[in-house]
Amino acid sequence: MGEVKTDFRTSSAKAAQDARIRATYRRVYDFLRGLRAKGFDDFPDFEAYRERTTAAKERTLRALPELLIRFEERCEAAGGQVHWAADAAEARRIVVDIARSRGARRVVKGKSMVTEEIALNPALEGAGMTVFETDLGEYIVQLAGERPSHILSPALHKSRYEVADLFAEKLGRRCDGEDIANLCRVARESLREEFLAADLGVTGANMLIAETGTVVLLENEGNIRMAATCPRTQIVVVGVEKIVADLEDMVAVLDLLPRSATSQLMPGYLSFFTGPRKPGELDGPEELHVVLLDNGRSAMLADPDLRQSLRCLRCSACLNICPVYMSVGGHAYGSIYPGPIGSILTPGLSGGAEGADLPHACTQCGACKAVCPVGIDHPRVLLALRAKYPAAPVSLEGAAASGHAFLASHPGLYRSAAAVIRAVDPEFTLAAKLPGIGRAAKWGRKRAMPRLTRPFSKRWKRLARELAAKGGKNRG
Amino acid sequence: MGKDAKAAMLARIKAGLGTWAMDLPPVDEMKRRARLASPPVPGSLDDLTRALEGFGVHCHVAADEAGAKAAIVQVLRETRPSKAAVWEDEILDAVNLDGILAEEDVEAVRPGRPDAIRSGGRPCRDVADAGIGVTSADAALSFSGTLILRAAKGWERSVSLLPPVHLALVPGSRICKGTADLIPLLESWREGGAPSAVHCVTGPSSTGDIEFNIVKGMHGPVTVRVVVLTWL
Repeated sequence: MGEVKTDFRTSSAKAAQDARIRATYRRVYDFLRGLRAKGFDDFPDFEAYRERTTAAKERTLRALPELLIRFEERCEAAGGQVHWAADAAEARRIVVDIARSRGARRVVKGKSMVTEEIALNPALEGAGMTVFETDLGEYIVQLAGERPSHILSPALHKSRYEVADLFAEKLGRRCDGEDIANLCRVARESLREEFLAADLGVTGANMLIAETGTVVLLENEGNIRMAATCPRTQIVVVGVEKIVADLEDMVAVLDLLPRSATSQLMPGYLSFFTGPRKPGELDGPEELHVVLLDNGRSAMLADPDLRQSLRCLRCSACLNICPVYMSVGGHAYGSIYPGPIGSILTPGLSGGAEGADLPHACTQCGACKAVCPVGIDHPRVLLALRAKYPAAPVSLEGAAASGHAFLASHPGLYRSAAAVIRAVDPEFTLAAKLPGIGRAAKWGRKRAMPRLTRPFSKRWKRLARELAAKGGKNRG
Repeated sequence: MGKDAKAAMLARIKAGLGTWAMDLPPVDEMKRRARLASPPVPGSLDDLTRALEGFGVHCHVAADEAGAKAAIVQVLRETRPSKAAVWEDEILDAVNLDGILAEEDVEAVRPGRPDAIRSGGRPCRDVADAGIGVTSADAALSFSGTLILRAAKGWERSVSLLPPVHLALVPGSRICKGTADLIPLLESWREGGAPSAVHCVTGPSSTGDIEFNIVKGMHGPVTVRVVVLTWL
């Protein structure tokens, strides 16, 4: 998954000491809690809906080969072209080949985690093309030369003032940081021309419908629709697990995905694309390509401990409620997918080559499982991954020691770092052995986590208060 | 190469699934007919209006052609476009949109008429120049305030997307209830090949990507207005 290197112990400790990161995520956390309440407090049927969506995605996985074949047949019958990519390199090659052979110079991209996963942009740029991320958050992250910090809201780590400075520097537009609407207008204006001039649109997909050969996309900004309206060619890159069997299963997913993601009943734009534009239609792509990506998914499917995580809809609900994610932020994970699901997907898709330490960064509180719309039992999967990839303390000793040196010189931050160690290594078996960290570990061990005998939903309010209070103190 | 890649990928997935694999019955004609036999559930105009107003979309209700004209004129005078991109559509004809635009001195851009296109056969630049895009809608979902628009000849994708204002004229008989109604709708449109694009539009384009402040009008329309034509 790209060239991302993870050393979560160091990066999380550092992030937890960063007052700016903590203040940002405290705001993010408050907002997302409120949003979640808005979408779910008056939704008594969540369990019934979750069962239906889980069943739909279970069908997806268990009948995956047949569904992919059906999708290919229907999509091609509608004039689309389907490609099969075993890994990231093959997917990149397929996309670059299509782009090159159409003489594409300018590429507009809709927000897509999977194209981050396969590191598509550098490949297209290496082939001489200019690539524009067009989702506002992705655009900001691209201009800043950073990575997304959240699956749905990639630039949530950036303040309005930082965005204003960035636009001034990169776009030569002086902007008032107070005026968020104006910042959006500036981005709209500068991207509008790129949409109109682009030769190629690249998007992900939230679903594929096998029965009809349809690509389904959800968004709010309209940038994905733009990428599927203006350029002559559209390429959809999608993980194989995004397929659903039929219209009924599509509706099952649709009934929970936008609600879980943003507490919306429906996204601003829900689009169904079946093949390229038809004769007589004047806009929309003349060619529609769909690249079906494996990249480690078949290996996860083969593992009974991991396969349930392939039900994931990428709604972000698990990130938004995770105390570890909210303590250290998305970048500390050092992976494309952060949070609970990222801690599974990163080592899962890479066979442990990347992010093998991430599963250890879990308090087993179960909040992620409680909110997951497809019933993924993240804590259980993370435990299985811990067993598969025991932490390697030797290689981390140096980092830990230097982390401690930093901490020792910043005594006010010591406590927050200890809290993170507790999250990374709740048993403190590893931490106690590490030079310099033992003291913090002992401190952490004395503070028992709340007992998990009551269901999470009942414990949440109190835990939220405790976390908020802890956050306040840790500001240093 | 392509064939090999496909076979290898499918083989890997099959091997991975092992005995956990499940056979799916083919989607048969019976099922498709059953979907068509239970048509969309009609939704209420009040619910639709309430849902639309919930995200700032004003919904006009017109009981006859004169009412529709008054509503359209109001939208034009408030948004003051000099050009309007419009669909080739019988609903638009039914309210004499051309006549209204002419009276209000708004130039009609009709991407559906080939002679109207100046930029190499693709209408996006022309449509982007228009101050308003006028479409009908195939359906509206009352529970969420969603407008459903198909792409087809004369129904360009860009008209509801590129101009800063989108005005949709929706016959009252096309108001459905909720997401489940997408099943019979999508099924009914598959006759003779599924539409290349079906867009479900819920409110204006928006973003929350800077500090979660919701800003309307990100890449698509800033303003959406709906006129429900109750007599159609």
